[in-house]
Amino acid sequence: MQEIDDLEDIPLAVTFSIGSTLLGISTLHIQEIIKVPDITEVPRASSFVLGILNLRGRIVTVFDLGTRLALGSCRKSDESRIIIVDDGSETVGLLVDQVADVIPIHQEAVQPTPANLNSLQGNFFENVYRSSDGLVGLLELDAILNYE
Amino acid sequence: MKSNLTLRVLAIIGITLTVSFAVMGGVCLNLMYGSSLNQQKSNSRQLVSAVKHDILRQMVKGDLKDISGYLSEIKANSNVTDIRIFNSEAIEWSKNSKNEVVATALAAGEPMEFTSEADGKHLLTLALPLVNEEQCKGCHDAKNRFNGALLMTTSLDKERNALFRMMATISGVGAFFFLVILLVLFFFIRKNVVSPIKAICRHVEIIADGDLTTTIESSRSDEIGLLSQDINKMSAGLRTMFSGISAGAHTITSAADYFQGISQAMTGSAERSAVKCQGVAAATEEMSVSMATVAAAMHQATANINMVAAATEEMTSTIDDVARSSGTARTISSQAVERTGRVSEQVIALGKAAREIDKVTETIAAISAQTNLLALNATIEAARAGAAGKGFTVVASEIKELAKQTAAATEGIRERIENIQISTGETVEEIGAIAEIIHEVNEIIATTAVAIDEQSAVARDIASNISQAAYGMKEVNQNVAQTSGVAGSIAEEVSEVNNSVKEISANSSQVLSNAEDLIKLSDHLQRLADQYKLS
Repeated sequence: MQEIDDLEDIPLAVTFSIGSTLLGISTLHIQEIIKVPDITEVPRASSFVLGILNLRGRIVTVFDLGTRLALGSCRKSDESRIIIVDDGSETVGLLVDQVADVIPIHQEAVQPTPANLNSLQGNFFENVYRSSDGLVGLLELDAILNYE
Repeated sequence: MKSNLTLRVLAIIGITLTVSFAVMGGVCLNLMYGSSLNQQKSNSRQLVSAVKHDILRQMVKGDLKDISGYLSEIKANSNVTDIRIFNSEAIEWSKNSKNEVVATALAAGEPMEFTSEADGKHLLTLALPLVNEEQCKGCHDAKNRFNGALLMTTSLDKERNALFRMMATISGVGAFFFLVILLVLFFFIRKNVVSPIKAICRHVEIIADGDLTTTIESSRSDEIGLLSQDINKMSAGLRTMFSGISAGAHTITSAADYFQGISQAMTGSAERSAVKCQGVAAATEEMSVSMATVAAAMHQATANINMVAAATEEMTSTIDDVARSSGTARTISSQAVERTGRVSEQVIALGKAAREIDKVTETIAAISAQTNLLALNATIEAARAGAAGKGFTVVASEIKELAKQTAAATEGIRERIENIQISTGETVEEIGAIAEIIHEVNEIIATTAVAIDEQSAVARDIASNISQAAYGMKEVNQNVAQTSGVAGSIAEEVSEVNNSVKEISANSSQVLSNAEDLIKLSDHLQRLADQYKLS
């Protein structure tokens, strides 16, 4: 019950890996996590757009998060998952190599993204969280979803 | 000589003829005399019968006075010298003298005859009893059997004189012819017998003098001719024989010389033989010793062979056991091959089963992954629900943990099944290798079984050969024993041979002296043969 009480005010994040990189997304933006269904490719789309899928009647665009983050394309496997996110304006599916866990984000373990990392890679990272499994880069969803 | 032979032949013939004539003459005379005497007797009986009849008639007439005149008349007219009448008491009628002859005839009751000689005259006397007949019983007493007897005497001189005359005539004629026959015989014998014998005698004298070249000329075919031919043959035979003797004497001389040489050589040989005999005797003794050694060795060899035979028989039975065992091993290894195959199949089946389990675990893994995803989504959904979703968040967390554990467990199962599969594959390979090895072992056992069968047959052959060898050894043993005995016999024989050689030596000396004698003898024979003229 203590844990339940603790959960009351602590935000959660879904952690996942692309290649060997451990990343996380706040559960506030996540609708659900699904297995990789059949994806219909979209011609003339961006390189990180894999295609579209039908999620219970809704058409969802699927991004290759690895390609989007320049970490190398994700390969489809039994471990591969699509995280369905919604920023309020649109719903997007993000393909990741493996979903790890849902962890609480304790504010004392959250550190800001190093400045040089920001300048180089754009504003994809909100901050960095030190978990028991290692450092987790918490992603800024708007930066990922907004592109020209 | 000649006259002696002739005279002797003539004397024999003369004596023979004389004796035969004399005997024949005597027999003839005697028969003739007997015949005339019987004639005389017959005449006398008739006469006395007639006289008796006449007397009886005169008695019946009663004219007894004329009987004397009748008797005188009979005396005057015939050669009856005397006739007298007697009564039944053998007393002469008109006289008182008793006659013994008449008495004897009356007593006998039958006529009696006898001859007598008186005053140079040969007389035949006949006594006839007079039977008392019916006609007489008128006068005479009927009781008497005889009433009297007649005694009549006749002369035999007339017949005797005629016989003597005939004998003189026959003797004279016989003597004349006898002399004539002797004379003829004399000349015949002299010509046909004596002269040829004389010629043969002369020839034989020539042969006796040493001349064997002559022959007797004779064309006769009787015994003398045969004698001449035989003498010729004898002469030829003697000629051949003496030629042979002469040649033989030469041969004997040379042979005797040869004998001399031989006997000398033989003496030398005998001495050498004696030396060699001693050598042979020593060698035989050594052989006897060697044979004893061989016999001992053979005995040892026989014992060894018997041991080998026993060992071979044991080996044969052992090999048979091995053959049976190898057959059993073959069966067992075949069974092992079969079982290995079955095990292999079962292990493969086990692998398949493991793979099927793998599918199950995959399903479980998929389920756990799905469960995990569900728990994540539930957590997310509960977080979105805010305070109301807190309990659900806990449940989702529990489910997520469960899913994690399931996934870990499934992973463990999967790893183990992988291990099982690896092990199964390795096991199958190993079992295959084992099966191959067992198969090889099986083949090796089969080869071994064949080899052992062959070996068994060979061992049996060896066993039979060794038993034959043992039998052969036994025979060899016997032969060695016999040979040992024979070696002893040989030693004895050799000593006997040594004695014989000594005898030969002595005998050859004897032969030497005999050969010298023979040479002397042949010289003598040669001289004897040279005395005869042969050609």
